[in-house]
Amino acid sequence: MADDKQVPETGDVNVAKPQKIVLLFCQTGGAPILTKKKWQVESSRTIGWVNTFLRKTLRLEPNESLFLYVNQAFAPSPDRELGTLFDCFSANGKLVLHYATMQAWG
Amino acid sequence: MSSFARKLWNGRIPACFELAMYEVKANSKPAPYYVMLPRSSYLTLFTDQIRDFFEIHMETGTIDEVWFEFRGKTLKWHYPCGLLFDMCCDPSTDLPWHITVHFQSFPEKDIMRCPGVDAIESHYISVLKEADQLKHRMQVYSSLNQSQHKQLWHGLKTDNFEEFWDINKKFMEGHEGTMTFKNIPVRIYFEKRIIQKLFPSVRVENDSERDVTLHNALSNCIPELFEDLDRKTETTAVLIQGTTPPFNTPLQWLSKNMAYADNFLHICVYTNNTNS
Amino acid sequence: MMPTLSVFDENNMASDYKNVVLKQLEERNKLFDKFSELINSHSSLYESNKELKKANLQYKVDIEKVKDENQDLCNKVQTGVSVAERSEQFTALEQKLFKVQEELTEVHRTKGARAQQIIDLNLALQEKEKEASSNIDVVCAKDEMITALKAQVSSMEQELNDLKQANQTVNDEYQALNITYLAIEEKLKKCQLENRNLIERWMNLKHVEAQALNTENNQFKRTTSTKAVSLETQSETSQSATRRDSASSPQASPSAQSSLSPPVAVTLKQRFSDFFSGRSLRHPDDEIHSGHALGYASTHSSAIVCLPQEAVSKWAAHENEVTATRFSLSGGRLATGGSDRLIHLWTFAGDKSRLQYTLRGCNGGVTSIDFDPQEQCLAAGCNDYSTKVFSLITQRLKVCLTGHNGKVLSSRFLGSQVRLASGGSDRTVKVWDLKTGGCTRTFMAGSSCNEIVAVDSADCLASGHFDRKIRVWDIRAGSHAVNEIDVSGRVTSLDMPLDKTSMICCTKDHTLELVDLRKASVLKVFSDDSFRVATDQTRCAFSTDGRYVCGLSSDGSVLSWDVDTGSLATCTREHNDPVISCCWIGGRLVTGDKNKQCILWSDS
Repeated sequence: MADDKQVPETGDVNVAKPQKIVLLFCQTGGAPILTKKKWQVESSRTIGWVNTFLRKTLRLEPNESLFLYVNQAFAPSPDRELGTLFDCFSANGKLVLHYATMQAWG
Repeated sequence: MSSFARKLWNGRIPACFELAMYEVKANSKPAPYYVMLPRSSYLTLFTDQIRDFFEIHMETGTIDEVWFEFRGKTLKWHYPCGLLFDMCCDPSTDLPWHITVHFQSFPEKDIMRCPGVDAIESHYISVLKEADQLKHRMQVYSSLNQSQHKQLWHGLKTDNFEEFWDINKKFMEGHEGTMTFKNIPVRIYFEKRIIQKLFPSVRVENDSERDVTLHNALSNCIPELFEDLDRKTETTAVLIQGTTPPFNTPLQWLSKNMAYADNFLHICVYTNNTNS
Repeated sequence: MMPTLSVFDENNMASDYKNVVLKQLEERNKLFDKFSELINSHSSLYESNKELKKANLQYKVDIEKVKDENQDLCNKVQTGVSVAERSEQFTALEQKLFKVQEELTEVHRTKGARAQQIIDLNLALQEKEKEASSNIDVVCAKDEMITALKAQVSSMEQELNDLKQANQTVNDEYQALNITYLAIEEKLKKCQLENRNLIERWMNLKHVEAQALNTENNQFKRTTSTKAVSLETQSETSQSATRRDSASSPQASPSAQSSLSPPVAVTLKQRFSDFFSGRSLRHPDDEIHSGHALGYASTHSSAIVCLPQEAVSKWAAHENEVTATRFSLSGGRLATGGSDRLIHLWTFAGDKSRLQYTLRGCNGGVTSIDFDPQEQCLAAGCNDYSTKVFSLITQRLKVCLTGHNGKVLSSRFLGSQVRLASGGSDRTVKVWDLKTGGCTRTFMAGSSCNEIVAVDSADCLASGHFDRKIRVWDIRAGSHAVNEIDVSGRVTSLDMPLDKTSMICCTKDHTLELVDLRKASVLKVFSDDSFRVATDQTRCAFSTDGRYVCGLSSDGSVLSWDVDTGSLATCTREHNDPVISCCWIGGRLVTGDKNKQCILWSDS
């Protein structure tokens, strides 16, 4: 395997154009409403990052919980990259994330 | 099929838990704790036993949440044990698996906290739902009732093959009357990356439907692996459940027979320079 | 064991990948299970070790316990030796103790008896104390009762005093009031006496006044009769004699048209029916007229209606306006009233009018005249706010009806001698009872009433008003008009034919309007260019048979219309001044103008 060749190549792909994806936040289950629902986010961000970001935007207290759901079905683990979720579950070029302050699905 | 599933289920990893030296109370020498870890189980399911075992060797009041470490790497408890072993161990040298147990200074940055068995269950169900979403658009999961969900988890938790497969077989049926899944839930672990894409079970090539094989999936995700056919590298390894299936194995078959309890096909790919 | 890939070409791979995988799985399990036995045995060893440790601990505890027990037993054994040696001493001591105890019991016994006595005495004492305390309680209660009763007594006394005082004041007041009452009674008696005296005086004065008026009238009559005597020719003298005769003997037999023979006395009625029959003799071919007249009244059985075409007689009746003219119902007499405050009664000899007598007593211009149905009284509406009723028998003022607050513009008898209605410029219509001289009803018409007619014999009457309305009243009914009929102008006059089937109304709009009272609507309107109504009280007339109506114009013309065809029948100008009053009974129509003149009409 041409390691010396391969590494810079992938590096090029990652550095040259940090892919961005469109996130659409949908409020559910009594969570506060976001004024801006559509966000462009780098695909390498994780669900954990989105969680902290949303907590900050919604000004949630540290003792309040926040749940994120994909496809109104499952809650991805915090280390999941948005890119892989986008690849598998995006619709119309957007990844729809539902957020709630209490458990909404399962 | 039954023999496959049974054999897969019986895959256990001999683990040897040792308390981190700096956490040991003065004048005590704890013995290591040995246990056979089922491949589909999770490390944190053994938290209680391990804590009971090591409790007398520690200063009271210093016990925080447990976390595990292997060769300086924090182990992500939310991966199945088999996957963790495949990712970081060489079965020829690393048996039994020596895991260091910590009860202090939890590495918040690396892993998420596991407050209890409920957290493991909800994580497991979430991954299961994701797999079902890919395989059957959530139809199977939705068709099951609460007690069946519980039975599934209970079977896994207590390492009860019959209890678990009684429900899990429903997830292995084809999508909407076909013999295959809509998409195959696959995660490929390669060079610290996790690759997850939509893999349909069949592809159209020269106007005929052909099974999507392991080779198709890997060449799609990691084209560089197969880039240079002349220099047939000896250093690339593909591990699924501790085995190396042939590249022409259809993905559909692998998913049905070699998936973990969370219904995902976890594939570890590494070249020998990254592995060691 | 490290699985490495040597071949990438899938075609070269074994087709039964399942077997490959199965084999690998089996190998994997074999490899890993090598440890399972070891680990399982280790864990079972660990478990048993744990159990043993627990058991060991238990045993250690048990040993400790047994040791303790052993120690206790040893101690007991050592103390047990010395007790046997001292048992004798013990018995002696015990005997002593026994004696002492007996003594003690004796002492206790006596003490018990004493104590019993003390207890009994104590009980007795307590009883006595209880008695004493209860006695004290009773005394206290009695004391309280006494004080309460005393308080009651004092309050009662207080009340009694108050009542006595109140009684005194009430008595005083009563006496004072009694005195004032007596004084007031005295005053009342005085006042009543005074009142009686005043009434007496007032009655006397009234009497004197009436006496004075009547003497004045008598004097005037005397003077006029002497005048008449001097004015009339010798041939007339016999006539006046006849008149006197006829007045004195009403049962006289009928005679010829000009009753020259004094012995043949005739009643006025008969005389006038003769007069009418004479006219019919003059027109023997006029069958229709006489046939028409037949149905109305026996007194007019032979009457024919004469249209105003030719002035039969023309004479100066008053000093200025002739405001009212009225034939008696029999047609025998004519009464005229003028603004000179006089009422003249005329009779006719042939076509010539003769002044019979004059009624005085009006303090203002006469506005209307009416005879009662029995022809015994005459009522005159007067500008002096009153209606005067004269007796035609005594020719004296009988009643003066005062009560209107304005000029009385019309007064009419209501089917009898005792009931009369009047209307005036005070916008009321009043009904009077002539027996008492009092007003029985007052209708608030709301507009100046220019003329009243009796619609039926007793209770219904119609009034014409300044506000262009004819109001119909029922005396028995309430104070509101039974009906209101709108006409085109201010109503100056109303008249009805004998059969009371329809009504003619003269308006200031220069029209005569035929009104149907049952339908409350105007049926026909008669007008002409030469017909100009002069005053607000210009009268109009219906012929007795209801076939013709008569209107009076300001240029001196007298017009008549045929009711059936609505066409103008006649228009004759004989007056030189505006004509304002008329009366049409049977064959006679008389009109009066603003300048003294009266004209009696006949058709040519």
